[in-house]
Amino acid sequence: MTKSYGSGTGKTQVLRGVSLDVEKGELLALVGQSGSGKSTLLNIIGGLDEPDTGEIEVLGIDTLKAGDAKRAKMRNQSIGFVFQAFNLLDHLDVLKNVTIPASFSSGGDDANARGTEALRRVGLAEFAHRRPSELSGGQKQRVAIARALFNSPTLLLCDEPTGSLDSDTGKEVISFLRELNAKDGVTMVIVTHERRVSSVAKRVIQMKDGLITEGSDEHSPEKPGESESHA
Amino acid sequence: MMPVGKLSRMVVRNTLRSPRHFILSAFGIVIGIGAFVLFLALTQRAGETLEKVFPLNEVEVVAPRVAVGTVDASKHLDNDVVKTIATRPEVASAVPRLNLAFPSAGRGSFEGTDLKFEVGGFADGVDASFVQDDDRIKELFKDWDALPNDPNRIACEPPPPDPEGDILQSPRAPKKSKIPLAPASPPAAGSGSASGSAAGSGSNVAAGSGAGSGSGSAVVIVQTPPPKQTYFNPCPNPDRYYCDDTERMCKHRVPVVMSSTVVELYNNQFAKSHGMPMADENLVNFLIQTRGLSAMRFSIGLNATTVAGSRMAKKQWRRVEAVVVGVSSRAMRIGVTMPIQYIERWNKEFVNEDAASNFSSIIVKLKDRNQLAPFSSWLVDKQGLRLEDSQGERFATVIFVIRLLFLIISIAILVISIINIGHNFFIQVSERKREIGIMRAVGATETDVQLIVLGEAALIGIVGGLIGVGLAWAIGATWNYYAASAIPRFPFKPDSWFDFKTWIWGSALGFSTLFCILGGYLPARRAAKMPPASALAQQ
Repeated sequence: MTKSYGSGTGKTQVLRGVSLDVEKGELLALVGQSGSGKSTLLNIIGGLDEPDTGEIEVLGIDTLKAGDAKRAKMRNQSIGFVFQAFNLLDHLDVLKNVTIPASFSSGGDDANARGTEALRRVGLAEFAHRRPSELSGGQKQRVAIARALFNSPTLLLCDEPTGSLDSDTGKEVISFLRELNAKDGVTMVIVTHERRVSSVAKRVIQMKDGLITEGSDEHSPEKPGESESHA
Repeated sequence: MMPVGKLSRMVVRNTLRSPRHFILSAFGIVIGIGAFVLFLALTQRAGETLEKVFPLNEVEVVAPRVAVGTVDASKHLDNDVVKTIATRPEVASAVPRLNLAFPSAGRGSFEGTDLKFEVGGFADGVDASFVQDDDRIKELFKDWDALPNDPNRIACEPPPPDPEGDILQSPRAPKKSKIPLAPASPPAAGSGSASGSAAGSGSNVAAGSGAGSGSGSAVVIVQTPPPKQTYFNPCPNPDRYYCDDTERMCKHRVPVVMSSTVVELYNNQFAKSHGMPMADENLVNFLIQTRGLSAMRFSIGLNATTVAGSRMAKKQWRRVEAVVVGVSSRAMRIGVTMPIQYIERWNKEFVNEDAASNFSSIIVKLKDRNQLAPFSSWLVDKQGLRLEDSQGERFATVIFVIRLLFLIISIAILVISIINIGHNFFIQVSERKREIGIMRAVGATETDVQLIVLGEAALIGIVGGLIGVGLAWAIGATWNYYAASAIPRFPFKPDSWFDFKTWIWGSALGFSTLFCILGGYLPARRAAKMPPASALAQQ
């Protein structure tokens, strides 16, 4: 698929023809320099953006044809997002941040209980009623992960999850994500430019100037290599 | 779409989060709605007061004045014309009105003060069935002289004439049964100046001149103590009967009604300056109830021209007695109204047959005031008659224009506040871009985002509208409180200057909410259409 931003002379081709299959239960790393199109690819997978041309199917849903309501439901129920900038709402406390997906679906009387459980999983149960501004970067990212896990998604999309963290905290987050993939079988696509992150991936996709340049490489010697990508 | 309960909670939470935004956006709405409600309530009250003074579905038919040479060739308004008009489909009722066609003067006393006033030009007659305001009027407002075999109509000794040749005041009944009112304060004006001004103005009132221009000139107050009385009303049932000078028989006093305008005029023109008690409709009724009907009795000198000075001299005149039986909306606006038969007999006696059968006007009540136009054109084209210029119609137009003007002002304020709200929300939406992106990422649809923004706008509309209505009410209450003491009494001065009808504040709240939603529409659309990825890209 292809994607460009802007128009006329200011037009930037971000994706020039990308094909990619991600297997269920996979932990995939998208690496490349900034501007290579990896975040755009991630957003398209998550239904936050649309390609100009091409087709896409996520969790059995053709997201281009599905319509806004169906895509929103998919994001709400089946996909979790983790961003570099954490993207927490400062006016809500930690628990409310975690349970915010419940606002956009019916039911959910047990939202607080499930939110507390999600916070317990990331080790922040006692911070439920703090404001995000009172937390450290690593804690904020764990809150964001708890929010992503709130509806027990089958697909987790992470955009530079360690980009704003120091190396120790980054390590913690990475090992948590890896464990999540291994134990719960959550499919993950992680955009990163850090080697230590891509090193935990089962497969690494290298992107450059809107094209996939490499489908696997030496960064992950233990990689199973059972799936393929096309540039 | 997200559930309504969750939507409402989120809207309230978002609104409470940024009170500054709320205040900035709501301010214009509060002012606009406040003005809207206040203006409408004020003009509503004005319209109601007007309706009280000039019933709008009632019109008066008159004959245009036509003269051929010196001969009056105007069309006669007789019983046939009344019948023709009454058969029109748009007409509910048509009754003739007949003015007293010759000069007459009245004399009575009110609270110990001697009152003299013009009656000619200030008296008319209508059919008794037309005046039915309350039970007392229904019982008493009729042609008593036509009553056959009235047992009270017995021979009697009439009172001696007034020593000064003036119209004699109605003599008292022998026994005292009056309940005294609170004593009136001493008269302010001296008798000299009062009678002096009366001498000049009395002649202004020409016979048959119709409802008066200057009402003040029609009454003279002579501040002299009443002479010691030796003659008492000898008639049975003296509350209602008097001894007639010419017939030397006991007769029922002529029942008259007066309009609330007269009561108001009395209050404003005389009561204050002469230290007399304020009257209102209720006081008149109270007086009649507590002191008996005779409390409001007075004498009429039929064909007596002047009210003070050397006066009536050569002319043949006679005295009858009348009594106010109540306040009626049907009474002549300035003057007294009695059953038409009295006027017919007197016009015939003192003028001629023609004056008794050619009505002054015909009062037509329409089934619906919207039928005025077809009725009017029929009247002009087919009957050669016309409608008397209705002051009510003119005032109603003025009030309509004022109301329209006020509405335009309020709506202009509201439109400006909508633009303001739209502007504020555009700023807010771009400030909250990231928040909107996050909501989209966790499952908000475009509709959800739009509803959240519109909900916040609607909340501003509801709360702003409520505050605006409250503000209008508070200003109204303050004004009423202030006006009650600071603004002098005037005819039909209301206790409350505003009528906050349910439809007024109801529509204000509706408009306020609707307008705010309109103002928030474009920003809400922009928020909804924002691609979530680029919304999230904002740091």
